[in-house]
Amino acid sequence: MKVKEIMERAGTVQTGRAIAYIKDALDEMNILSETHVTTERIDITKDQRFYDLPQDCVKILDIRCKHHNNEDSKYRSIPRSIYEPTIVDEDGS
Amino acid sequence: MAAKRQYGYYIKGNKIAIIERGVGSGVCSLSGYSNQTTCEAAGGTWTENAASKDDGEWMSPIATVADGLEIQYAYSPEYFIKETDDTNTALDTYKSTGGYLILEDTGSDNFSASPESLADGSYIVLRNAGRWNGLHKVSAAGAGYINTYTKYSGTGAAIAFEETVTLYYGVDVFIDESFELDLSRYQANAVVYYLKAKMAEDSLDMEAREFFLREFKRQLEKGNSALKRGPYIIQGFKEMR
Repeated sequence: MKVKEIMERAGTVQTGRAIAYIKDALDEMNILSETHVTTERIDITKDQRFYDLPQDCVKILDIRCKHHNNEDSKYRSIPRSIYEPTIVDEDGS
Repeated sequence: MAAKRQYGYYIKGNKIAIIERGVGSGVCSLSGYSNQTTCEAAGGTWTENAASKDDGEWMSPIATVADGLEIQYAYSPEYFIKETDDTNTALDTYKSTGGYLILEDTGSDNFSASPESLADGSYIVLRNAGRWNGLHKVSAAGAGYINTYTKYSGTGAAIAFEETVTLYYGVDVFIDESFELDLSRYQANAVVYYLKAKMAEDSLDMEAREFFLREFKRQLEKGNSALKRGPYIIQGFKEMR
């Protein structure tokens, strides 16, 4: 559906305001029900703990690591730690 | 055979922290033996663990693993890639100049020439670009460089991309009324409700706001549940994937 059609249905002619709200709606939709999904692979570097999230990430759905609990180089979901480890990060980030 | 590892993660600010658990000093070919002496005494073969961290503590990753981390995430469809084979894979480094992201190709591919034909105001989408995944607006392009309007506080020295970056240059962007949203009709109807809710909020009609927001969520949930057949008969939990 075109943006113009959505604006007509909502009864507005203010394009700038409508576009801003529709962008909010798209974010909200993806937070609530993940309509558009993609994956990104990043190298794990020895002694580097922190990695940047992709800039277009709205909601994280799954974090997987290669070799996690397997010897077949497969990707498996990894658990989220509630606490930070007592061994601090060596790269100081 | 690759070594078995044990990872975990936590989120800190806008970054993801990957931690790994020390995994013992080695592996015995016989089951039930956890140290070299008893393993070899029983006639087994002891293989030292390449990680050589044996304290079982959680720490930063013990070894480098190419493509080791996979993040699955939802993104907002504010652009539409017209032809997925309209790509360029020549970009190899990025840097910050004047607070903006600069993409570079050391092979000096000319991005202002056909087929990319990038210029001030053009849009590109990057994939496999780590943190730079997504939409960028171009401010200038030429032989070996693309300047963008994306803010980036970082070093002026070129940093290599980890992967072969895919640049999509045939992109429609959500900047005016003519943009066709990449949504089903059902989802688009939910957007109409959201827009009505926000307009009601602006005019301080809170009752209408609540009504339209409820309709927005209901429409979204109906669209989602239409893709699932039958009743839910299993109570799931997060680790069950």
